[in-house]
Amino acid sequence: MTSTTKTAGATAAIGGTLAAGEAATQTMPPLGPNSTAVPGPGDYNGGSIDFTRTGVKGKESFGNFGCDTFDGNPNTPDWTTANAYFVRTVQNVDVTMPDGKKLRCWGFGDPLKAPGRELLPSPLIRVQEGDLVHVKLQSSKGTHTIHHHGIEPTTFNDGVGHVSFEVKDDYVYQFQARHAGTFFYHCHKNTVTHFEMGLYGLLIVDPKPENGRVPAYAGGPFYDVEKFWVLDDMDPRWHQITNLDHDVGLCGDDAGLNIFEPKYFLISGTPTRPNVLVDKQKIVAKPGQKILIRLLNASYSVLQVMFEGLEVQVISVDGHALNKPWNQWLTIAPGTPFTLPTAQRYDILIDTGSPANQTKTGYTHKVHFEFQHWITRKVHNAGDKMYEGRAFTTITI
Amino acid sequence: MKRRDFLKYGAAGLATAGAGLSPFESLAQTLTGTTDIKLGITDVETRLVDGNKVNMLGFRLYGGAGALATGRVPGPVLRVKEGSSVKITVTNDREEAHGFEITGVPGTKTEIAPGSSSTISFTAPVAGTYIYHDSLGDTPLYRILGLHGVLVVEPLNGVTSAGSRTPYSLDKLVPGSRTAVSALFDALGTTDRFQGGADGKWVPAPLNAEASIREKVWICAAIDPKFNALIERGKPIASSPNLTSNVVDNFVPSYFTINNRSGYDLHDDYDGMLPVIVKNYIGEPTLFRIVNVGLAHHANHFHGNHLMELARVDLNPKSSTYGQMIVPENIFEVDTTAMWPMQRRDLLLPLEIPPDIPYQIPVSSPTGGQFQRMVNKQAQEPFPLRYVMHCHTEMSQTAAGGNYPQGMVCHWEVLGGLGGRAKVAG
Ligand SMILES: [Cu+2]
Ligand SMILES: [Cu+2]
Repeated sequence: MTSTTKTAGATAAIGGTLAAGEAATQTMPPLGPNSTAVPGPGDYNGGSIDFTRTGVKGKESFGNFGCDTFDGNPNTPDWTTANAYFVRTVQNVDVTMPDGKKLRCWGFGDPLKAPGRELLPSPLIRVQEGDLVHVKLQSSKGTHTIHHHGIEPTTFNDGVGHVSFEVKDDYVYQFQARHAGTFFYHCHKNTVTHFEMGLYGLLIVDPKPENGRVPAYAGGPFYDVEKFWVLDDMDPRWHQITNLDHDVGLCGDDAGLNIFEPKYFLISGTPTRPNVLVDKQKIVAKPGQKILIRLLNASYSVLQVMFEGLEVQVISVDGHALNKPWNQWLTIAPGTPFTLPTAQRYDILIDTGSPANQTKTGYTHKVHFEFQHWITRKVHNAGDKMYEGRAFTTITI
Repeated sequence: MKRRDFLKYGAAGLATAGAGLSPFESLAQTLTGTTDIKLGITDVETRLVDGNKVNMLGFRLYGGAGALATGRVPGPVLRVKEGSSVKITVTNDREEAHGFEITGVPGTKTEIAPGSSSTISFTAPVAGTYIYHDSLGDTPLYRILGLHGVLVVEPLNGVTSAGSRTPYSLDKLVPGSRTAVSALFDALGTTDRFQGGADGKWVPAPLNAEASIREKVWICAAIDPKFNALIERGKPIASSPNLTSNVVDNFVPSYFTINNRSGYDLHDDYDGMLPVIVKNYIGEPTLFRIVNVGLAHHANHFHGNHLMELARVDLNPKSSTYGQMIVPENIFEVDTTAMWPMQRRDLLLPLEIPPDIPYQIPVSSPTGGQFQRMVNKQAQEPFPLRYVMHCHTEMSQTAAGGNYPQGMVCHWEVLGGLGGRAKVAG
């Protein structure tokens, strides 16, 4: 553990609401084979909390609703020992765009696993179903939060300032992962700008291994190739004003945040150009293999997606598998466009050995992404050779 | 942000009655005999979250009380029974022609000359959620200026073979949809995930209520004040062909509302307004009927629970079922739902224990979950748990060009554990 000021172990027994000794005596379940965590317990963060200084018991007013919201470094209520531990910092990430310009972004850093690396999207949080997860946020450049999107913990661990608090220096978020699937995490401070700046990353919950292999969800399909396609769009004006003022617009300014005109379009952090293959994000699979694509719309556009040539199946939506008595996998025929709203995830399985796809072996199939304006539904910057809101990559079998 | 210096909503209206009707239901008691409905079209004024005022157009309800009598945005929630004969008379109090239409219900389109009335008669269509609005001249202009509301059609045969009530006429669904809807509503109250026994079932709102504890109507919209500035009270809308010939391309909204409120004004419900906030206990599943009468594409994201997507309209013009209401065979569980313009969706908030609250403490040897410790008052974090709902197409979380989160942001509350309402009532 790096630079921990509070340590677990001996003090754990007094943590949260655990009966004395419970935390100290338990043996920690091991991390899953794909986990990106370090083994818990990590930092001790239990103790008393003054809820009246937060949105939980503080009186909500117009003033503290957004502008002068609750902030601090409270202890984690009902702190209990974690077996999966993460630390996230806030750092600058400069991305060189296809027009040669550098765009200032922000990302979460991972000082334990990837110190100093600038990453967009932010480093993956990957845990196993049942893990007790602690994510320690170390803020800088003012307050931030982490909302683990689709994960449903208590209000205090949900990362929304006006109903809880924003993190001044540090806080340890606590949850226990229940559903195996695809989630993400992002800053929920002045979300409109902080999410746009790039303060987000994927969060994946794996099921427990079955016969040594990790399926998509418990009892679900196994896969041979896994790819993350996270689609984003960026308006350089927004990046400029947010980098200058991390609270931009919060307290009465008209910052023009109702107007979003993106110029840059990215697949999993790779800037794209219309009609140019995004080579870095292409998929190559062998005949008979199963491909799992975790698709997230992290843009502020209506995202239209179209798989040429291949039949695909949606097996999970927003981290909840389509295996309930009231749902089933959704098959999408080759060449059929579908749309995703901002923040939605589809887990897409491509069985290259299926009857529909068998005959597609030996070919390369395009996958098209179109970013449509949130009011007019027109593709952004239509016809522009540099800035048009279209991108494509490929799947080769 | 400049803010109006007062908020004159009666605190008495905020108290929630123990187990029976909540206060907003008494407000709607005037909606008797909804098979013969008399509406008016009139000028109204709306105070936005930053204190600025805009003129709007609203529907009023003859025989209604409070804001419903004088004109409100949105118009009154109308509830009728499937197959019943319905008569709606619309009186136009304004100095220019208006229209009326219930999208998806044939024979409901009419035009009303200034100062006169028009009556439509129709048989209530298949159970579901419908939008009524002024579509005169096939422009969205009057709709975005406030002339919109929701018609709820209650099912004739909404009960599953296992006795669970649902919002749909099961005999009118294709077998796959009937199976899916039945499986979900039968699971409520009877499974480990959805506990509560008979009390854990979904309960429809009364026919004479706009909403209930277990059923809310949300009407999403957006306001671009330059369009509202065309309204002069008592006069026809000012002519501005530059703006109104292409409303969509000229629409730059700066306020984003649910039931004509936003941000801090959505932090609670007030007398006379269409309620928004769910405050329920675990095991009290709640139906949202959400429509988008605005022109922005919203991505409504709920924290705290995933919701089941029950019904929607097929908005794909290339589809063979374009324009039809779909009760799917495949009910997704989502945390974010696509609310495109004129979309109507029913979503079920199951009020299950938020699944990622540590449920096995210590993690290596289960001795109980944190939620149960909260219920037992052994935990630090108190009830209510408050979870926000906001549009994730983040521009619509703003007001007046900034001021996050004064836009399309509200929340829902978990008041306590299973059976909590009965315990409080004694
Ligand atoms: Cu989110
Ligand atoms: Cu959120």
